[in-house]
Amino acid sequence: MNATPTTARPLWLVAGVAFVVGVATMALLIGPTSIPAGGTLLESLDRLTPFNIDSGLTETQQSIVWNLRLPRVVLGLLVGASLATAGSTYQGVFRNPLADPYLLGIAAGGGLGATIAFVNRFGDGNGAFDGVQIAAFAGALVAVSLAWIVGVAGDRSNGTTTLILTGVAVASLFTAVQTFLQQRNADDIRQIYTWLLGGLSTSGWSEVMQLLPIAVLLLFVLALSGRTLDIMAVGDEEATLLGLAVPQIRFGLLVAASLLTAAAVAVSGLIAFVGLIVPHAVRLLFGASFRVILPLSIFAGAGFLVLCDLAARTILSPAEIPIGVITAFFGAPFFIVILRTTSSR
Amino acid sequence: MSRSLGTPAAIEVRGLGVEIGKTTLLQPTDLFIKAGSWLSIIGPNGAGKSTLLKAIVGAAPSMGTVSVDGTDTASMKRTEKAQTFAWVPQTPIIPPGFRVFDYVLLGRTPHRHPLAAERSEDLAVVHDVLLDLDLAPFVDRNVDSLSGGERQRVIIARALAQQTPILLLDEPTTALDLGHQQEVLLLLDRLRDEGRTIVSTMHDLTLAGQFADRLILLACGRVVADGTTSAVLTEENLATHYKADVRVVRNNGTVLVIPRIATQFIPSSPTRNPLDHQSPRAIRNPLVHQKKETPTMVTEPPVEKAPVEDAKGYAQSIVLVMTGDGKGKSSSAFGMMCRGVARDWNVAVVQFVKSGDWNVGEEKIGRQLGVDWFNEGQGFTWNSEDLEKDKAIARAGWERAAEIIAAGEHQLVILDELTYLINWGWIEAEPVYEAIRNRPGKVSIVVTGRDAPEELIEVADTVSEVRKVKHAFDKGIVAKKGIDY
Repeated sequence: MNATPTTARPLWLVAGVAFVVGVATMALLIGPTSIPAGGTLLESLDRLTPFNIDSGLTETQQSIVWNLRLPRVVLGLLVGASLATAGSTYQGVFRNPLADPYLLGIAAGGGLGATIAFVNRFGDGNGAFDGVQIAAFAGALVAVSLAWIVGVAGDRSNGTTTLILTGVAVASLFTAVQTFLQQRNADDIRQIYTWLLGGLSTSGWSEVMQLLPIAVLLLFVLALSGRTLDIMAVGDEEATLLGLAVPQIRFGLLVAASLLTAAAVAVSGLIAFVGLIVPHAVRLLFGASFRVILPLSIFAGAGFLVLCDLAARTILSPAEIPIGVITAFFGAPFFIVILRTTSSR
Repeated sequence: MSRSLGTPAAIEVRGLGVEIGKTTLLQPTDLFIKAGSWLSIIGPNGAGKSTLLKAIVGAAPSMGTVSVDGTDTASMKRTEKAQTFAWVPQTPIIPPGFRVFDYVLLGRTPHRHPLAAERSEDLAVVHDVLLDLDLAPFVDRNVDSLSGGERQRVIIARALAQQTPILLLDEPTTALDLGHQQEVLLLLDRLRDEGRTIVSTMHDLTLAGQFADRLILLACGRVVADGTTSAVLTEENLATHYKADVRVVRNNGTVLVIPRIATQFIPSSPTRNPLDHQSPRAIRNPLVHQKKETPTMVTEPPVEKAPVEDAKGYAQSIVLVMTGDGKGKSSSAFGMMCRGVARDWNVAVVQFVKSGDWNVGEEKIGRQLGVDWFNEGQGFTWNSEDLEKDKAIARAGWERAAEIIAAGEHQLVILDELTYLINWGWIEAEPVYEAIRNRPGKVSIVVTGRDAPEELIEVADTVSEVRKVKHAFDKGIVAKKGIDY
């Protein structure tokens, strides 16, 4: 008898790391400017490791690798991992396969925050702690907090249905205000839309360094929450009778996942579908235990988003397609397949 | 306070009540549940069975107190409570794609920190529980892919992995087939024998009565009966609180609760083979699968007419009339009823005139023996206020009797006091003789009553007259219960 719990097997973790490294390398080597592959890799190693390696690249080439391509890849990894992990957490907390990190109004709140910042010229969305980023982050947190306060305080049944519906209502409200502001400021619409559709273009490392600490910390915390989410999978009542402090744990997990999402949204806009489809793909491929889904979502989300970004900037190169278009374009058909397979069960 | 399994735990419930808004789901209830015993909560739908169970475990907001071995559960920490009570819900949420091992491992939750890894001790407990419940072959299967019985075992396994002294189960056998019901109940029986205290709600009264040490009957959120199986499962209790017409059969300490519809006569097709003998158990016990009529029966020969002799010269059936003015006509008929039961026959008794308020000892014993008993009278005329009503009842009674005879499902049909109906002109006489003459081959008939008409004596094979030599009544002695009436 196989008397061991389901966990992410070492082999899968190794495969996950290999997938991420492979995709990242590919993304690093491909771009509108042709740069020798060997030189690109050596330059990256030179910068990222303590070793002094001569890459043989020109100064411009070095700058492209270090200031454009590498931060963009790393940002893609962080945002993808964050959205996928937050999505897994949301799906677990709500025991709902249709949940995603934007469920409680983060997208609408972030969008409204960014819109307000754009129309008031608080910033342009680039660089560290730019006005748009701060406004988007704040808007996302305001929306999710509002949904939580109204949804949980007004629900005596202690379940999640009211919370989800409140999230929908809050999102509608914020989107309405956002649309109104956009209509009143037609000049800014193009800029706002570009931001809303999401993107990983950076101005160097500043955005990466801004997201890195919070993302690493929260990814670590959530990756350890698989067991707890597995217990919550049997429902609030039974989980409580198994000794779990369900309301407190749900609150803690949602705070972590929402902060992570808001931080990612602030630097990359509203990238759709990653938080929905990556957890599903992992679940279908590797099993339903969150002890598997959460750690593997980190790798799968990171790799998937970098891959989508690569497509976004090469398909119409040198022009860029908004990354949200790519994730949705590949995500929507996949989502339909999931709906079909899970509803026929 | 963590408990080991070695010490059975008693539960004391005081003033436990549940209200939602202004609706009272459970009236304040006091209960003491002995350590190591099995209490089953029964009651009609909406009586508050699950509510009481949930209130005990603290899954429903309630008033009052629940203490375990003197410790108020309100003072227990969440994990402490989960180490005391294990809960098996009626319809648990089974997360899709969960392995059996992972699911049972959830039972170890109260024994470790949610973020901490399982200790080898936890894995060992799960391992043992799985072996104990014969679940080893399923360990890598997904819980949602198992059959109902296997799944219920897995859910109980999760509860056992909690290693609690108390198990609370909400309808553990509902939705299971007969074999799996038994399997689960025998498992719980063993767990009780190992010292666990078991509280369950049960839908199936017979099964509830067979296994539990004690039953409580809830109706409208109130305990209306409490005690042993035979004290709680009475026809009166079930009629009052379930609004159910049931027969309660007691046999060797087992109490069977059978809906009347299963014991009443169900007309069969005229092509039914009268030789197709069904054991009384198959007919009377709805738990035993009845033979289904197969289309091939249609081609079988029609009902044989009596009297037909078999190869050895024995009659297939006879008609016996007990008449006369002496005491003992019905008593001898019931003697034949007992002989019939002893031969494993299906016996039916139709009582005309008497019954209703008359409490006949034979009826009690007859029902216990599995005799199909039909009361078709309302007492003697001098008790009756409305003669037309009596006539209507008599006619309906005879129709019932005629159907029973024609169906041929009983080897012996006793028509007690039938002669009065004929003599008083309450029913037409000729159809009675017709029905007896045309009875299916294997149906013997015993008719009792004074002044048997000539035509009845005509159709009968054996007629005995009980003559009164003397009667205690003549001396003014009214009756001796048990001997008379």
